[in-house]
Amino acid sequence: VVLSEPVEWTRPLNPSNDSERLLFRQFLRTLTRVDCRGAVWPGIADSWSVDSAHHAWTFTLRQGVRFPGGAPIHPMHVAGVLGGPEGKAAGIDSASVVDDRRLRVYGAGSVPAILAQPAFALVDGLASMAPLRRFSVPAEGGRPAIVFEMAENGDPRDAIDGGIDLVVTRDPAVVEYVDGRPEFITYPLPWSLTYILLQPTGASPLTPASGADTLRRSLARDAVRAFARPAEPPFWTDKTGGCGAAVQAPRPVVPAPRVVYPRDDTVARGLAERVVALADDPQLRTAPLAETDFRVALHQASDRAYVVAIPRSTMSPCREAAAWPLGASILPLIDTRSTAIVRAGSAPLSLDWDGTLRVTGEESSGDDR
Amino acid sequence: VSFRTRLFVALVLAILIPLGALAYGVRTEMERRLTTEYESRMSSLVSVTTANLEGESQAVATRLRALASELATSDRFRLATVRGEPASRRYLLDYAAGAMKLSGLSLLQVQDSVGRILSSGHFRNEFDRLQPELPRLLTTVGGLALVRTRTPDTTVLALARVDSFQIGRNRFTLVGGTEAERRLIGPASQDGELSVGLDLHTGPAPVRAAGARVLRELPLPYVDLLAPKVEPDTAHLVITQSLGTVEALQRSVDRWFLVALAITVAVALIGAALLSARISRPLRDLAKKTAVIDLDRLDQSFDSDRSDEIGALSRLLGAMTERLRLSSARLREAERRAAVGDLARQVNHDIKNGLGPIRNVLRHLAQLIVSPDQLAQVYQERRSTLESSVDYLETLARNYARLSPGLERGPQDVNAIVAQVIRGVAHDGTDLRTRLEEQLPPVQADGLMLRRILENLVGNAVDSVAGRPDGRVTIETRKTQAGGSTRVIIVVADTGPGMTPEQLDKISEDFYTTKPSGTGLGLSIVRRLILDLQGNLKIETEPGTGTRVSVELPADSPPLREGGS
Repeated sequence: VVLSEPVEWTRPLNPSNDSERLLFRQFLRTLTRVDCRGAVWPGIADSWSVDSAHHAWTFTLRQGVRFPGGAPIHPMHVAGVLGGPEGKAAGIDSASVVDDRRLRVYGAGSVPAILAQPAFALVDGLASMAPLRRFSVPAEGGRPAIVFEMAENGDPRDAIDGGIDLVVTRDPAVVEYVDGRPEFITYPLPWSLTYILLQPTGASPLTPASGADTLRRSLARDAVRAFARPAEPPFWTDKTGGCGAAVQAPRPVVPAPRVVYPRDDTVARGLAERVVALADDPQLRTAPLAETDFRVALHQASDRAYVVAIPRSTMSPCREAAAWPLGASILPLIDTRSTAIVRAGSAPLSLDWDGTLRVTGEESSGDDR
Repeated sequence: VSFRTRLFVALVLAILIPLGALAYGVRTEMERRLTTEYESRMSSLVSVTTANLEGESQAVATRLRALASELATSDRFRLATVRGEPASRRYLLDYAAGAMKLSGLSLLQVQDSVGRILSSGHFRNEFDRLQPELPRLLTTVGGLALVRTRTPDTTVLALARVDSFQIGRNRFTLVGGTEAERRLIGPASQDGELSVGLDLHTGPAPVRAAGARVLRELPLPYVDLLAPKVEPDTAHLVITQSLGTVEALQRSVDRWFLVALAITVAVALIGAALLSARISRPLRDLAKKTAVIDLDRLDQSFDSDRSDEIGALSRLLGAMTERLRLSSARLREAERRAAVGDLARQVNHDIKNGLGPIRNVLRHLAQLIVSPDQLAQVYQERRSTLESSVDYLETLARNYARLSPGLERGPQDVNAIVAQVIRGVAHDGTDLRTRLEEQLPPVQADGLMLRRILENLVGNAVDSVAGRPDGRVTIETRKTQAGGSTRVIIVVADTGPGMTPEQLDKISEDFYTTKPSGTGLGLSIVRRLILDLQGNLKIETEPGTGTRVSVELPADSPPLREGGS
């Protein structure tokens, strides 16, 4: 598998690009997983049961389940993750260890589906891989060993020519490169990212007079080099009215005339530039910021607008919107998706609920493959 | 103003005026040469800048013409613009960015005939915006113009031109340019003192900031697309000279000049003070010696080893003093002779007074020759008259002998007289020492007079150390050569209380004494006696240390001439 984008190993639970999303998903150890159709599948738990009141769920871990680094996983580890504030926010009341393989989780709703979220994943042993350009994930269960390679110069076409089995990309040029080559099969993945224009409270709106729909179409057609479409509802951002940062940074009276976007996101750059081009303010500029600086700027909300990429679907809207300024105006712009380029005959793949590929190595139910 | 002060001021001015003139000349010449050099460099910079502008205009025009020719024959451009084919739209949107990079431009925009942006290289996503004023104003200028526009994230200043081409009935314009600041300001920035800046009239121009002098301003057509109202304007290329370097150089020169001036002034003041003091001191000493000369004090020495004018003056004063001394001696001799005449008359009168009773007694006795029996009786009666007259005459003789000692010059052995004086002085155990030079030549003097001089001096010295356990009186004799003649020096030194300068000034005056029982005539008489012997008296004293009296007498001095000249 080739990774064409830079990987930041310190944020396995908060991936910011397709390479991180694909890589970390292979390492995350959740009790369950949910496929792209919403079906719940075993994760590190191979079975579970619920009491008659549908409140106490007992999960049994698979025999010999281990962390990616090789250390054995104990129910105590899972209970520790579920007992935190993330668990409370997701509706988990408590979790307790039953024995060496079982733990009991108390909560309302579909607890097995809730526990498939990356927020409740166990992660360990990733830091040692950080400096490597090529590394292996050992075979596990029916899944084969996976060899990951960082793309040289960030161009996955070199890896494709070098015999790679899987590339996940948003670059149409890469897809066009393998188009017509019989050894590769291209799969358009679900629309997974929505780009929004976030304007803090008090900033004058940047929406052009032609209207949001016209803007979305223009953006999707001409402004970005990606597989894009005008953003389509439903938007989970509509449910974030009560969400936002617990502590608000002080804001300037007059916001800086900037449309800020993450520096490494070319789609966000195209959107920001188009927004600036259509604005009446000749002083308005785009401002590319590094990922960390972008998060800080978004929290401070001192600029006219921010172009933010958000997952198209989430189980925890408020968790996604935790760093946004309260009361911000949100305009969904476009949806984008990735394309999986798979060498014919390579290991079977499946899709998670959020459109992320997972190398399963086994024939699962069929429809999610 | 004293001679010394005038001399001091003259010396200081003699040093400072040439130095000031030198500093002024150096500074003026330095400024003139720097100005000339800057003028030359500025002319070169203006020529280079003008040539750069012209060359840049031609280069941009050539590139735009090449791009226009290519687009006029491009099928994809024709399909995208004339036919509006959607499949070629992305090619059209991305065209300017690629062409801009390939052609080395920093600004490129393709517009249709109504001014709609079809493709923009420096701002890819500003497509479809209407901006007809840019090609219109550039066409009005007719050549290179400075254009301020924006990219997505910053502002760009370009040297831009416009070109156009036709496809069918559709006319398209190309606006392209190169980055202005790098082309215009970059080369000049290599010169650390001269710099080129742009004045866009959009606020305080940094090129006109303090610390810089504007040397030349070159006008340049200017279009500001970020202004609220876009209209033709004129910017200026401003060539400035940093005053920092020049001022630093001037400050450095001034600082070193002030340091040199301060050192020179200090050295000049010290040198002038020392020199003026050295020049004026002999004159002051001469004046001081001359001030105390009178007929009774002609013992000042004006001897000098100097060969200059001051030495000559000193010798002249010495010669004058010597003449005064001779004249004084002659005057005293005349006075003495007059006094002797008076004395002779007085003696004659006094003797006659004494002889009168004797003569009367003798006459009386002569009358008794005829009656010898009465002779014894009369003698007895008149005997007292005879004796009283004789006593009177003896007293008279003794008194006159005391009043006027005899003056009999002749070669005198000074060492022998010193020995006699020491034997005769009652010194009551005082430590008396002598350092008498052997083979001392005799002096021409009256022996009695010389003895009285030494008795007086030694007596004073012994009195001064009386009662002092460490009191010591030293008598020294030696000879010396001065002015071609041999002189004998007698020194009487004591370790007594010494004298203050005020006491020394009065010591030779009549009736001045520091001794309770003194008459105040001793040293005054000694001085006159020494002068009579054509000698000098020199007294050196210091309170608490003692007194050293030197008597200088001529050896083999010719006998005093009798009578007038």
